[in-house]
Amino acid sequence: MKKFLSLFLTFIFLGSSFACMQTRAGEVIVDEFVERTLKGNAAQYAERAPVYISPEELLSTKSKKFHEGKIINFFVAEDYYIGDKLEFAKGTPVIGRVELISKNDIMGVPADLIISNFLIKNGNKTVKLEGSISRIGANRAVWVGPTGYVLGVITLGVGCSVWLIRGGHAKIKPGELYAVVYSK
Amino acid sequence: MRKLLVALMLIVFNVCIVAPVFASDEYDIKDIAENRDVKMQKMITRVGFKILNANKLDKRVVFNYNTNKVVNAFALYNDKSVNVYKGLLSYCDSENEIAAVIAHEIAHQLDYYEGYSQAIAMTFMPKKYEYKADQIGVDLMVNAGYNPVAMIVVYNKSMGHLGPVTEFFATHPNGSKRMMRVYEHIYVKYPRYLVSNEYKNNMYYQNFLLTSAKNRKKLEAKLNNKDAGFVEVKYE
Repeated sequence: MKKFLSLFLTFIFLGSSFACMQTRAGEVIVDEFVERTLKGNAAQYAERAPVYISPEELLSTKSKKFHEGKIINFFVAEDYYIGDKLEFAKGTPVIGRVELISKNDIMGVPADLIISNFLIKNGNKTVKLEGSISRIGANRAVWVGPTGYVLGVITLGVGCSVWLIRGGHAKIKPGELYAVVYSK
Repeated sequence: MRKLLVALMLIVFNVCIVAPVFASDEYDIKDIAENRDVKMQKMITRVGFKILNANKLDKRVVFNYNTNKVVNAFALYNDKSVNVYKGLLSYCDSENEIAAVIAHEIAHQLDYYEGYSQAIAMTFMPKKYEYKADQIGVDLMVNAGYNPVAMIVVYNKSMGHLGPVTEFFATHPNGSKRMMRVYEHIYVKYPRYLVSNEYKNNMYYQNFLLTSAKNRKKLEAKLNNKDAGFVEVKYE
């Protein structure tokens, strides 16, 4: 009896540890292609159409209004249907969070902006939209660096001033559409 | 002549067939598995792939363990590999800390995947991209279930405090500044790790708290001044 009990407890312990490992490492990635084509689960693993969202205002790394962690307002740009059912009407508010701002710099180095963690209201529930918006400004490093060196060899001093040219700001403009995925 | 031919055939037979059979006995698979370097390689690969999968990164990266004792890790543009030296791993006390090193390098690889022009920008302004990789590294760690405070701990053990002139000419930013940027990032985005901090009694984290008191006051002043918007704090 004792042996059986200890064996039983060991199984429970191992099972729970394994479950913890699974959740910590993230969900299991399923081969949706095989599920659809070989296993006949086409409906369950049907390719999800993206939800198109657009920002309400111009987002730019030039502006001092934005900081990491700031909540940004978006809206659904096109009606989103699942089958015949309208899941999100055009104009439904979506919020996203600024995940990273990395300013532009001299030598033509561009700014970076990442917005992610999108949330949308679906009835009474708030659900997460998967995906992120990543923007990089104009990358002028490709020509600023070499031009500076070449001019520096010809005329001393001019080359250094070319290096002061900054890269572009990362911008997300209103009206631009960004695709995120709704996993029901 | 026939004897010579037979002898030659025997030698060839021995070299081609018999020798490899005996040679294979020298490499017992159990010995290999017990080899410490092999274990470290397996550990790095496991942690790396855990981070890639948990973050659903659709970019391929391979992870190499280098037995050189240099205190460094780097991401290679050519083959999109992450290389970690034995010297740096000797500063890591837990899987969280190894994950901090690897997550930082994966963040560099994500930039390299943007293309060659991005790699050029990274060469010209490496400090900016080090900060960026630290911040993205924290996000990658959190998504993979690791504690991001470990990044501060491993940095405090392995990165020195550079003087202003040395820092100006260095490719990497001052270690003290990097730790504070990581701390700020965790404070803003993942405060729960600081509220219930499993590293609060860790000697190296205690030392960080001791040495960063001035910088943390600067951060507090910034956060209290909400009208200022996005301002980079000039940490020391």
